[in-house]
Amino acid sequence: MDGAAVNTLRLADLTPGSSAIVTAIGGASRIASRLMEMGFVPGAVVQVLRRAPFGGPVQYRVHGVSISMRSAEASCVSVESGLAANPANTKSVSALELVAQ
Amino acid sequence: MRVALIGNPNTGKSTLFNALSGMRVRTGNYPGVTVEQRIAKVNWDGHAVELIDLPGTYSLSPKSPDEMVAVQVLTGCCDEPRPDLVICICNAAALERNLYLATQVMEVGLPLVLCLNMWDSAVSSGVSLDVAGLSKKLGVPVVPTSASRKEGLTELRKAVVQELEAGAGAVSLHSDSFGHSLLSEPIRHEVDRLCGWLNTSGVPLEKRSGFLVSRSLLDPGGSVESMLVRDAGSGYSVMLVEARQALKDKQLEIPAAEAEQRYHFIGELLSAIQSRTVNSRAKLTDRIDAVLTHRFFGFLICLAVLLLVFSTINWFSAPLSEAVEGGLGLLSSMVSSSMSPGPLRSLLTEGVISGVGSVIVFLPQICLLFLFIGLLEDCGYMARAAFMMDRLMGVLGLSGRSFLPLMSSFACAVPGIMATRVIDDRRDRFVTILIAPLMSCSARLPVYVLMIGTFIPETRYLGGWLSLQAMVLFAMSTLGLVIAVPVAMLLRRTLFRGEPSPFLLELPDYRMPSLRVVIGRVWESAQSFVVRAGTLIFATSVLVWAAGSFPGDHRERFELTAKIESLESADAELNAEEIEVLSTELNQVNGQLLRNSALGRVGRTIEPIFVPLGWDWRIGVGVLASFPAREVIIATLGTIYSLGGDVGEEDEGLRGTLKAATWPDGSSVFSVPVALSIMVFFALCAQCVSTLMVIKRETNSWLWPAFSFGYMTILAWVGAFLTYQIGIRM
Repeated sequence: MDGAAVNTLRLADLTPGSSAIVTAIGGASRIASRLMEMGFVPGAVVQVLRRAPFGGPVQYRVHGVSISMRSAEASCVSVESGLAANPANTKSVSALELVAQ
Repeated sequence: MRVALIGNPNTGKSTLFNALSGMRVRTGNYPGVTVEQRIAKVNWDGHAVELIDLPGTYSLSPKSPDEMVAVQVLTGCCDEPRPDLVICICNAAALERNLYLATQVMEVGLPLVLCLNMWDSAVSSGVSLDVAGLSKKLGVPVVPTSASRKEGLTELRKAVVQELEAGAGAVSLHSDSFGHSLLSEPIRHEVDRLCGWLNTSGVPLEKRSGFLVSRSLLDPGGSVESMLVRDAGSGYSVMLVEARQALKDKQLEIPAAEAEQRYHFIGELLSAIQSRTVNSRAKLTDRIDAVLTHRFFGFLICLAVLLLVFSTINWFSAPLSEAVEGGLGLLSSMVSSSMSPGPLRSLLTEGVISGVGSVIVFLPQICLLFLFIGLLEDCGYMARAAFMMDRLMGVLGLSGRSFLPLMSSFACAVPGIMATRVIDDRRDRFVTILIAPLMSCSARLPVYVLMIGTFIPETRYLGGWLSLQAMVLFAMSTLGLVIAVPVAMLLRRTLFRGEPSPFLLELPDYRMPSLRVVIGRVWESAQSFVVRAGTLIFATSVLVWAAGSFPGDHRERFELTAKIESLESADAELNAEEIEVLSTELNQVNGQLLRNSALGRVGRTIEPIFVPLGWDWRIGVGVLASFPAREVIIATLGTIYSLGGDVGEEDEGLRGTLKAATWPDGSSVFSVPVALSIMVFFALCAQCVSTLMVIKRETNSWLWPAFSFGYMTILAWVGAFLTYQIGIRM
């Protein structure tokens, strides 16, 4: 991990019940493009729902769709925590409404 | 006219396809259940339309052979003509994500009709959308439908016909609308440059459309890139790297740029025309998931669901099977009383009725199993099971994605192995294919039910709630799964070594399963089972009857039978003594005939192989005869033992016959250890030609079916050996 990555929060670091906004997608292009086409694009709001038994994958909700992945995949998603979204970002706002409910 | 249906998984695509075509197709909630391309011929307003159901996909960036099918069909890269129109199906309740694929399909260059399916549940979950506005902004007809309620289908058909009439003949092989792509100018410019380079490369015209070239550029390492590099040479590979670098210099990183631009476009599009109030369905789903996918309780519930499925099959099927059995017994005695003893009567009662009949007895179990699998799939639970089982599948070196193929293999390994096409990792896929035949398929169920019903005592525990029979059935049904664990671990560490593959799985919102769809699926599987029973199993029954009857002189047997029957019809009580003498004689004659028949000779020659398993040569012959299809064993045992003349006087049907079977020294052939050893053998053996053929097709090699057959046969023998040897010492 390079120096910049130290301060970066990953989707895999979040605990169930929290939510965050995607800032960037990294990792191998195969995983990255699959993540992005499933809706994990910068600006999207992700809600962390719950973890599977035995430390298995985690269930997330993004763009109103529930998607599960392992921590290996979730580590490719950089996020910024909390609900302090940029109000100019319409996508975040519409998705935030979802989270708020 | 050819019309292709494309859409994300979990959009009700298969249900819509069914509703449009009237043809029954397997549908479900699990991503990728439609792995086969399905075609239906329909007539819409005088147009002969060929409907093509494409595999469910999230994008046109194929990473697995399954997803590549969609791209090949849409671009005409395969041997078939290009479709004249595409219907893109979206889940109206999750339009943001679903429109991603739609914006890619718009670039293919075919007339498009956008179908917003599951409209009813989207509306009830608080989505309101300006359909006309969406249609205007995208420039394509948009039709809301609710396929499971058959709503909106007329409008959809009308829109398709209208488009076909308007654009008839306009589509050529290279018609291409990538020029109108929503992607930014620098990307389109690079695509143009690449197209120009390919024009001189000798690559066939249909493979260098702007659309395909854009896919090769935007999806590094994807199947389209491989295809074009294969055709155009490695020079194209260099061109692609350069083009991506040029874009990166303009702050457009591939593949991120595509996703960002598309989602940005969709976000702006929808913000103007869509409003959501409360997503009640998502909320409800989350509330159900809080219980059903709970870290601890969720797992217990999953196990309980599986146990309940097997218990219920056991409870309900017993009385149903007995009724069928009784009916068959009646039929058999009707034939017997209306014909005099002879080869034809022997063929009818001992070959045909006892053969095919004893398979139909198990129809109730098969229907129930498919009913449960259908319900679990359709309501959305199957994907949850994969989510919860991912960690456990990880122990095998596999992902939760292998769970559905393996679960389906509990019904039948053939669709299970075909469903492995959704596993994009080659090693995962091969390991899954190789262990799938170990899962307890429905064809094994008859063997278990017969053996358990006949030899396992009806002991009950926990106040009658848990029966020993159900527990043995559960144990047998999970044995293959348990054995699959070390097999998969071994394969993953030897032949298929490598890093675990990524795991990204959609968990669709829960919905009421459509009973119509599920019943349709049950009907389809029951039908195909009966057809198999009527052809393959029938043929085997008659062959086994012939092999067990000839060569041999049956005159004495028929004379004895006729004598007994005339005495019985005169006065059975008065002639009881004489009948008994004749019956003993008949049994001896029958036994002698079977011993000296073709079947008996083969069986006795190889008997030493089966003795350590506790089997007599007749079981051995039955097992040999059932290598083409394991369900044949029931028919074969029925035929062999009724030919053998061991029919008990009090009991009717095959169960009685088996209980009465004896070794030459008079001791019973069947005991609990023998029954268990037979079941274990069947649990582990690859007795199914269809499965081996599908493995050949899916792996494109004879090596893997041979490997499966070899390792499973050895495993089965060792398993049965251990079971019997341990069993008789307990």
